[in-house]
Amino acid sequence: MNNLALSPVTALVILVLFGIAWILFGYLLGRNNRTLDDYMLAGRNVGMAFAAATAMATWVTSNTTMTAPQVTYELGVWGMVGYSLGAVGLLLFAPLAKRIKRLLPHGFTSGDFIRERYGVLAWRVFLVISLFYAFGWLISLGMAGGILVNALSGVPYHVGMTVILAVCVCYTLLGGLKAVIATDFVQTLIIITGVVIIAYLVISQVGFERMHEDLAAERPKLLNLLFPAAIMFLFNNLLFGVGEIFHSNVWWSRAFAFRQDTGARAYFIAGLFWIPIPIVAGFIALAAPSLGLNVPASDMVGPLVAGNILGTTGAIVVFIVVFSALASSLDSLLAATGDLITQDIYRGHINKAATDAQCFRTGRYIILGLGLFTWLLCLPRLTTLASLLYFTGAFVASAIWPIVFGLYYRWATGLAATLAMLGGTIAGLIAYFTIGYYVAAVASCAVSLLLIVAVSRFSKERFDFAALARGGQQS
Amino acid sequence: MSIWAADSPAQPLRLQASTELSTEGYLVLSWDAASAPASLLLEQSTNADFSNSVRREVGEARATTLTGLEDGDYYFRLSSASGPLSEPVHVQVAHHSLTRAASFFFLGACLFGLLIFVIISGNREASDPS
Repeated sequence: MNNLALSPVTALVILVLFGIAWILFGYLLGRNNRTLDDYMLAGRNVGMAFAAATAMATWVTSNTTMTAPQVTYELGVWGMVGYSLGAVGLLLFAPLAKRIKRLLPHGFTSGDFIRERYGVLAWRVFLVISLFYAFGWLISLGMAGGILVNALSGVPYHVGMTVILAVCVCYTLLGGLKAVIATDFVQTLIIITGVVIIAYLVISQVGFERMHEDLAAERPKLLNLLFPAAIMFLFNNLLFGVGEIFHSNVWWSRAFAFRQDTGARAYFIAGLFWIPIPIVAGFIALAAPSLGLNVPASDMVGPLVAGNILGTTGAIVVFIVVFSALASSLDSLLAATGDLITQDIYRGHINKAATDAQCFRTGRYIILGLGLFTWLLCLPRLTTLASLLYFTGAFVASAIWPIVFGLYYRWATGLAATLAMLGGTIAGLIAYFTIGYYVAAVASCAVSLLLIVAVSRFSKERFDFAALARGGQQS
Repeated sequence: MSIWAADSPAQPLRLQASTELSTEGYLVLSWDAASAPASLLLEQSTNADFSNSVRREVGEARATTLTGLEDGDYYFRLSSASGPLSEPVHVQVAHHSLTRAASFFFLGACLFGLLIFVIISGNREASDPS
């Protein structure tokens, strides 16, 4: 039987206090936003410390703090190690960020690049993939908020989910990317400090030997290094992370916002700091059998174990850490998806003559609408976090090669990129439904590679990279 | 046919498994808790007659997730201290073959290696002034 680690009142007090602090922060930072550049890209002048902190904090999400334990609970030791390979996406994006800033000094979104590089058809396919992923991630974050509060305090899922979502929408709306980056900085400090405290408490209170004995007796496969599904998961998770970061406007908007020559170093440092976080977060899930905990849904295992082992004080630390991790990703995603819809859907398709001032105003309504839409989709709690998240892997991994070849090589064509994204996504979905979530990204990435190389070979078209800078200025 | 203990609920509990065949060694068992007693137990056995069964306390929960199971046939049922409360449920665990796992592993490793090569050579070409 599981005892709740926190009283509902304590959980709600923490939520309200931190919520007020984040919203106040957003209001103070947003007061000086005057232009679209200020609001969407923090004036394109973000320095090293804030750049590295926002990159790391955004990548430490509910997926790190709650899905890493879930994956460890389901796939064992390889699940934990495989999850930390998500850092590779940040590390590899470091050189790309430098290239992006150089090629598109006036760009706003990842959609700008795809449109100028590959044309309208590829751009539309990319937007569908990107928005689908963004909604998948937004919903997983909203769900994680509700699950966290429910697992630790018994507060109904819908209440926790609604409060966390409302807080993040409010401060993103008020402060734009500047508020997102500044809160990310504070949230990074909280996350790192909290993770160190949790790691210390877990190691001092639960013995490795006891955990190993209980796992070997009750869940032997979790310790087996030849666990087939876990072996397949390793590179799948790596490629999924690469796909998420390479295509998503969350990371492109930061590449545009960071100062020249800051992006590459910031992403590299963020990747290095990120590596141990899912290891620590995932490790605690392995204590569940030793503690005799009943785990109703595997995405609840992290908070359940933490609350059980660490008691009320520890549970408060976990609560604050995961709440910060959630908020740091939710705000970034709201801002970046809002930018993508404003720039690529509103200005790109609906009102092509829109001025910056109109986009500025419209962007705020779009963030509000995104928050409401996410809330509606979170209400039914359709699936577990990992299932939802890795479903999007089929989509995002198909964009890896179109992005990389598009940034560096002249021979990649628009038709080839379009077919690569479509074919890769279809292959990923087939793999997801016929084998499992742990192969969707690998299948998608492989088919996408074959298609973009094969189709481009039939064309003599060569792209002029100077056109990107010219196009970016027009947008 | 199950023999119901005297203090068992009038209606047997309906135990359901998320799958009949698990290829990852994990599964979710769920039940309707409306008529379940507070101290509910979940029995797990590799034999249909539940000899050598393992019992876990699941309290007032309505579901449990089991992971890390080896290949084999597993039988589950809900019970209380005085006897079984549900019909047994059978789940087979048959992990993917190691050949399939190794194929995806090497495919992933090749894609990763190629990605690094493409980015490094792309950067080298991009930074070459000629």
